[in-house]
Amino acid sequence: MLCRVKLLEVSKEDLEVIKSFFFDPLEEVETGEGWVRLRYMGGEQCGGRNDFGEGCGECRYMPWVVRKYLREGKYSLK
Amino acid sequence: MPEKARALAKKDFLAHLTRKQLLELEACVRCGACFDACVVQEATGDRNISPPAKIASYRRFVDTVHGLRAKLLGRRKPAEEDVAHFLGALYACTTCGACGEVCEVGIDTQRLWWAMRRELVGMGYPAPGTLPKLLENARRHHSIFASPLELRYRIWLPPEVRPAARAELCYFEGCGVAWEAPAMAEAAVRLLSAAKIEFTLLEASRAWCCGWPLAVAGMWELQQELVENNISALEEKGITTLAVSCPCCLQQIREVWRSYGKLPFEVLHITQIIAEAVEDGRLRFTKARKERVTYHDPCQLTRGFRGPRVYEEPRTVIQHLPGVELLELERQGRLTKCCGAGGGIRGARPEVALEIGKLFLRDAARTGAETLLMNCPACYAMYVARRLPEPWGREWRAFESPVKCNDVLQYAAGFL
Repeated sequence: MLCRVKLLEVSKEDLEVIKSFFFDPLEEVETGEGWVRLRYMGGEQCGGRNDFGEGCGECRYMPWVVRKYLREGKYSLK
Repeated sequence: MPEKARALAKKDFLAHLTRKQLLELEACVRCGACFDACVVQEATGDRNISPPAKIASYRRFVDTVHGLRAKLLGRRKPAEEDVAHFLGALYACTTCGACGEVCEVGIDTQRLWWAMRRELVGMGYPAPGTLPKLLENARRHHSIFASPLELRYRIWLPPEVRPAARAELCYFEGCGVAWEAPAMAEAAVRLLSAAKIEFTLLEASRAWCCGWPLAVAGMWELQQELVENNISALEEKGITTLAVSCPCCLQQIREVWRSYGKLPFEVLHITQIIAEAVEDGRLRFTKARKERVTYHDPCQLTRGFRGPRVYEEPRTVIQHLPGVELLELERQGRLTKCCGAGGGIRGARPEVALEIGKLFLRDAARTGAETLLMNCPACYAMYVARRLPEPWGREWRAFESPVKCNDVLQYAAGFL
């Protein structure tokens, strides 16, 4: 499962926290105006339901600082 | 190698070894009982880096500098290439302690490897690979990660879980959990909340590294500062129990922190608290899922410290999950295999860690389990996030296994 989700409307404070977590060179996040695209974990790209069958809003692989954006629907899988 | 050749010092090779450890150097009879216990041996088959080979090399160094050989031929420095080979072997090791568990003469190998690493680093031989970076980070941030401590709770603490300002119980996730496995911490506090167990957290900036990753890499320069800060921060909280998520923190607190004085609190692993809540009915799992799982005992929960091993408690939690069947790995408990992420081997010898990881996932698949549950942030980083330095990281991420990996409490939290 490789999460390539694009988080939207990310605050500056949360961006700092997200960058501190995704420190592995291959996981380095892409950022733009208010958005962050993740690159997390190995294998196939996740289509929105992880290997436990959970949707983005419940994804246990993601720390809270990311999942709160997923729960609020502030994300895109494209 | 040291940047500048250094003259032989009086205590070289001896400064950090106890008398018992010097006897242990003599005690190894090279019987090879440890070969089958060692995951590095399983992955590489290289007897030149086996526990008896390391002990024999070190014994030769001591003899050359201090022993009969020194008396007869005069003290002389061991050849640099011999030291270099020895360092390669010493750090191609997860320091998991499985070799010591099966040692026919009872050598406490885990402590011996740590003492040797400390000795060599003290003599000016830097720890290999990316390990020195951990010390650099700790000098700057008081954790082994290059991130300010103040951010830690913002990674994983959900707003609906509200730690008390003061409580009898303090939850200490550990920096490895915060930055490599934050979902473990979130699950732990969600389960505490669900069981209505009041807990507090240390102020983020006072929760420093426990000192374990630096100690096992041989880098002891900051130990006292780290340990004393943590103990005084916890004392100020007035707690009676400290619950940790990281098995390495547990070992460090039980073994090293105690050497700085009696601790005014009890130290438990978080699964011990959750299991008790499950057994006495304060915590109930309401959802069901039909699934076969296996559980990996982290090395530091089942060996290498004083006090009871944490063996039954994670199994108690699993057995209370509706629909879940627990299938055991062939090696468990005090003979558990290291997952390949311990002792700094991911940073020092990632190619060895990679091979151990592949073999371990095959072991897990052989149980017939669909999910492998773990209980340690190093295991989590290795198997869930698949973090290894490049280029081995790419190969590791591409390695396929029918077994999904997860943290045991994170998995259990899905049944609330």
